[in-house]
Amino acid sequence: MGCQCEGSSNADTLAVNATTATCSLSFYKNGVVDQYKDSKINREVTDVLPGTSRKIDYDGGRGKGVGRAVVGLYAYDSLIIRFPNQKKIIQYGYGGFGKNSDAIFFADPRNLFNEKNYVRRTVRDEKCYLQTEYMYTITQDDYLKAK
Amino acid sequence: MSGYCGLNQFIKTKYKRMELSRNLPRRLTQLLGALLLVPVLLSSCKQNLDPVAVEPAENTVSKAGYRVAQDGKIVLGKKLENPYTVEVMTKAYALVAAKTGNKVSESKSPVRTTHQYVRFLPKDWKQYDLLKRDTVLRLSDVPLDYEVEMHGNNYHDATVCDTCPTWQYTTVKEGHKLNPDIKNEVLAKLYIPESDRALSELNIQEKVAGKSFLDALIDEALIMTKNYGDTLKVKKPKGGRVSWNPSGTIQVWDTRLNQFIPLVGIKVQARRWFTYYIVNTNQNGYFESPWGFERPANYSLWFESWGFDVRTGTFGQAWIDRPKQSDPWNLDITGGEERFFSHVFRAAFRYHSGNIGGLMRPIFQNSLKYGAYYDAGSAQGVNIGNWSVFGINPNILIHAFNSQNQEYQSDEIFSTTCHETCHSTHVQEMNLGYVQYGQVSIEIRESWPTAVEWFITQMEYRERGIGNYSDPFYAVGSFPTRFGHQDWRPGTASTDNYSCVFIDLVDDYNQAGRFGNTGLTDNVTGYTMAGIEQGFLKHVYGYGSLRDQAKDNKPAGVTDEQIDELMNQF
Repeated sequence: MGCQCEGSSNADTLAVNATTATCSLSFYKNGVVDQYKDSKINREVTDVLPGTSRKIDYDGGRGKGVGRAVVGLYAYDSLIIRFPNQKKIIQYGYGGFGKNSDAIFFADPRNLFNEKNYVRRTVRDEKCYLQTEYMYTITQDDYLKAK
Repeated sequence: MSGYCGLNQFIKTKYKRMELSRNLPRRLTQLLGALLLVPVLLSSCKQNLDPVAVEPAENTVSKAGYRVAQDGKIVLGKKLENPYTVEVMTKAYALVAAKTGNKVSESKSPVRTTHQYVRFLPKDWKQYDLLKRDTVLRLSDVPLDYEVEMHGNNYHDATVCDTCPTWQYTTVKEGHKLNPDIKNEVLAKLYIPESDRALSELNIQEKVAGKSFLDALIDEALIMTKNYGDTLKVKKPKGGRVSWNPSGTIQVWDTRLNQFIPLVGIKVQARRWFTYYIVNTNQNGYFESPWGFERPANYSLWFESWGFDVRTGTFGQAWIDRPKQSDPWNLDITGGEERFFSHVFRAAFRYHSGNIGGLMRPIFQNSLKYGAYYDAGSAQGVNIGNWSVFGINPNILIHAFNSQNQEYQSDEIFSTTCHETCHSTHVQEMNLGYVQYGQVSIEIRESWPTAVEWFITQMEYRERGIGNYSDPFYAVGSFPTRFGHQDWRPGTASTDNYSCVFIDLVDDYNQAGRFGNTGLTDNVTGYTMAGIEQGFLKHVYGYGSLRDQAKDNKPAGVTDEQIDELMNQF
């Protein structure tokens, strides 16, 4: 018999810029960017350099587990990923109601709001603690298709 | 979570081998089980709770003319000569009487032993608890006749082992019966003229160099013992006494609210040598003593209240010590350890004394001890158990940093403190304490405190101005306040055992269709937290019995089908 530790977890959600251009990500709710000011995270993420990543969501708390890729982002309804030369990608969150026919809707395999489109990586796995990363990669193909 | 570790199974196994269970009465069996479990519990829990190192900051910080230790460790300076000893006061009285041209007769001197300056050394934490229970004693970890070079929030005598209670210093009235079982030493016999009725009944009207006889006597004693800084500096108006009453406001910075909030119910002490006045802060964090001093006094505040105290880690009472002054003490606690202690305190205070919507108060034979660790732990909080058999405490451990060395927000500290306290009351609720609690599933053991922390923290922060705090659309913060924990689902979530089941019984929100269509269907509402706790929590051992109890105790308008619909998702 051993003592069951309470344990804790942290899961960070990262947007990885695998393009050749610097990009920014802006999350909106009812047209307002970064509406829910969260001291832990900034949802207007600028200057994401090529080959780098930035944190866009987090999960964690008590208990050891893998967490979730998307939690706080559920509060937002849309995302614009901006590139140089005013190129952009518009994505809608779950239940997205936008009218932009070029936008990427929730069910699309390129939608950032959809947990299924993330790759999970274990960063630290200890007896009572698990740290995980979820990564969504913005690809060069995404960039080339941006309008 | 509780560090409970399957007590019931352990007892059964142990006693089967020892063949005792048939012969021992039930209570003794339980006690022995507890005794046997404690070393296992502590050793294996500690192993999992070893802190992650946090880079230490510089040791000292200069503040407003006095130094405060960044690590909180109080550093003593030189030992002062005690002006209140009977010997010194006898000589001082004679000198001052002579200065009245012998209008005051030395032969009628009332100087005698009125108090004793004593110190205790409890041999263990059980004795320490016993000592603390004597509310007449105002105990101090720091000796009362030393200068303080570096102020802080904890002190431990270097000659006493780290894990043992340090010397406790206090003043008692002559004739006070000391507990003979606790090692004690009388350090000095005192005469305290300020509180001597015999002196005031002499009604000495003669002035000495413009001062009242009493002031002259005290000043003479201070001068004789080279405590010049303590002598009266202010010239009093004719016929009047100038005194000041300790007062002030204590506030702490809340990182969620981004503002200072009052620290309610905290014990503030003003001390001059061996005279103490103690008051508690009110709802505005304000305190005021009805009794006054004529000279500067040391303020300190103590993170303890009825039923609990906060420790600076495993051992040592958390308190804040500051230098002498004769002004109001307005303290704004902005950060660091002291901010952390404050938020643990305010949650504990609310749970013990504030409005918690009718939930059960934690009431135990000994004070509940909160070990506030200013470091990172693998878990933010742990409840070791309501163990008081050996006085080995603390019962509850709270860490200030997560495993990524990020400091927790004020509401997270508050919330976790509530969660861990609830483990204790949950045990209390079960008829046979730990024996019965041990049979409760981990999901119930964690989901109930999850609901309680959500409930109490929500009350606290809504009262403080965040109207939508932890409602289903509250998108900031973390577990379990973000989205009111309505985003929970079974499966791979890290908080699998920390479900929203009790929250869903109480709230009136159906999260179906949200969170990428993973939100549970919840058409149940109308239960209350207090109603669950008092009505049927003690009969809940898992989701199955929760379903049954929920049906047996359902409020009007809730159907068995709705309960089944909800519970089928857990």
